[in-house]
Formats: sequence, structure tokens, C-alpha cells
Amino acid sequence: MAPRSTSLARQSGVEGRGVPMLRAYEIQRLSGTRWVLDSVSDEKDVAITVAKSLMQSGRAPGGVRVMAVQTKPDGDFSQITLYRCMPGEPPPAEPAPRPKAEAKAEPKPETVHRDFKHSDGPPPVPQKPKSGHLMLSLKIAFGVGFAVVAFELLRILSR
Amino acid sequence: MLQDHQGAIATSVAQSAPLAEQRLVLRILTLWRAAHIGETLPQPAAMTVAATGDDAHNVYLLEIGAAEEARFAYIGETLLPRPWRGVEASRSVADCPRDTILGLASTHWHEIVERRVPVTRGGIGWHNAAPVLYRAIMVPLFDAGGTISAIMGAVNWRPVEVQDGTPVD
Repeated sequence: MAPRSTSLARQSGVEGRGVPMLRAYEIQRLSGTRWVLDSVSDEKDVAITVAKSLMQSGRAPGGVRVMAVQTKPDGDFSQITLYRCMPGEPPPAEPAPRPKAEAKAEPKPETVHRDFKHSDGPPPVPQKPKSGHLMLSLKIAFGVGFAVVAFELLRILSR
Repeated sequence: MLQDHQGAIATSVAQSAPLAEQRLVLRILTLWRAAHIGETLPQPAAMTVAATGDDAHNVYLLEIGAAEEARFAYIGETLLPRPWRGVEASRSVADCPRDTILGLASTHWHEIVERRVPVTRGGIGWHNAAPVLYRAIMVPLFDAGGTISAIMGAVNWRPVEVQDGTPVD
């Protein structure tokens, strides 16, 4: 086990000077028609707080957004918008839990993504063919008949 | 320059007005935004250590040299690494002990030069032989030509407990 200091240092990026963030949260402000980088954070909550404070400041821009930027090892990156606030637009609402009644009323979509683990209901039980019952009855009757014949045969032979 | 800043802080800390924002990183960011004069990027003269008020103890200032080198021009009292106490000489970031909060917070200064915007970082590290949870910010300060000539940083932290028996690796 490595010493704690080494491990914690690695975790916090002390080792390897200037270790770039693999996931960064960019706070961008709208300047005219362009989104301009305002600041960067390594934590989502801090980035959103910074974005909100920017909108509440005396020099509020035309809009603000927070982008999560994921940098891949090959240098390629992808980004998604996490937060966006524009003057005149209602503030982004927190996602509320969906009422149960509403969920019930919603028809299920016809096309759903399925995999091996999920289905809409229990799998259909395979129906046994009716001829199966007949065969079973015949087998029982045959068995009983054979037993009777064998019993009679033994009784005759024992005389 | 180190002494000039400390002299300015002594007066400023006593006269500082409390700021509304609770988080250190946001207070520094607010100061940085306020240091914009029109379209001019914040310059060292517009954002001094003294302007940070009570936060000056948690602030440091880096001077960025032409040769890709950063030296501490000011180190707040609470950030000063033990081996550096009582030493007046200007110190390089490269010489800063990495198991200190100052080393943790300042080691990413290249990122500010590359991005040219404030960057906040946080996480777990070590300071004075104890594990800490910290949050830091660095903001760039520009010369008249638009080159980053200084970086102001600020960091606060709190100790965290490491439970015995917890696997680290």
C-alpha cells in the first residue's frame, strides 16, 4: 500500500505539474452574438454558482451558460450544456418529480428501446398442447390395465 | 515588492469592509471582475493584495517571468510554508513544497496562462502534515500589452479526517 500522502497527492493532482483537467466546467458569457469563456472550474456546483453570481453582478452579460467539457486522451473533446440563463427567460427550473396520475395517463410509446433485461410484462407461458392430456390418460389406463392383467395372471398361476 | 504588499495589507486588513459573498473564490472573482476598466483586462495595479481585505492572509501573488517561471511576490500569512517562515527572499513556485496548501494551489499556474481566464480547483491534499479539503482560485492579471504579468491566487481549506483502516490505494 502506498503512503497516504502519495495517494492523496495523486488524487489532487499534485504530482505531475500542471495536470490538465479531464473534465472541466466552463462558464461562458454571451458577448454580442458570441459565447466567450469567462472562467473555468473543476466542480459543477462551483461553476453554476459562479455563473449565477455573474448574472447577478453589476456587469451582467447578455447571457451565461455552463458547459461540461470532457477531454479525451487523444485530445478530442465533447461538451454539453449544464446550465443556461438568459435575461428575459425564466430561470431554469429544477426538475420536479412527475405526478403518478400523469404518468398513468401517458400512453406508452410504440417504439421503445429494449434489451435482454427489460420487457413490458412477464413472458408468455407456453401453452401445453391438448393432446398431452390425452396421452397422459392413455398411459395411466394402460398402466392400470397391465397391473390388473398381471394380478389375474399371478392368481391363475398360484392355483 | 513582497514587503510593499505586506505593508499595504497591514493597513488594509484593519480597514477592510466585509463583503457579502461567503465563498472566498467568489469574492476574489468579484474583485477580478470589478478590476476590468472598460474593455481593459485587469491589471496588477487595479487588483492589489490590499484590495482583498481580510482575505489577504489566504492570498498569494505570482509574478510571471518571460522565461516560463513564476515567483511569489506575496504570500499570505496562513499560506506560508513552514520552511519559508522568516525568509524574505522571493521564491519560485517550482521550489514550493508540494505537500503544502500553497504548493497545491499554485502548481497549476500554467493553466491560467494558457486559458487566460480565472480557474478554480479543489480537492484533497496535504498541508502541514495533515489531510485537507481545499478550494482555490487563480486569476490572471495583464500588462498593458495584454500579456499575463501576474497571477493572484487564493485558497481556503479545512482539515479532513482519514479513518484508520481505510484502503487508500
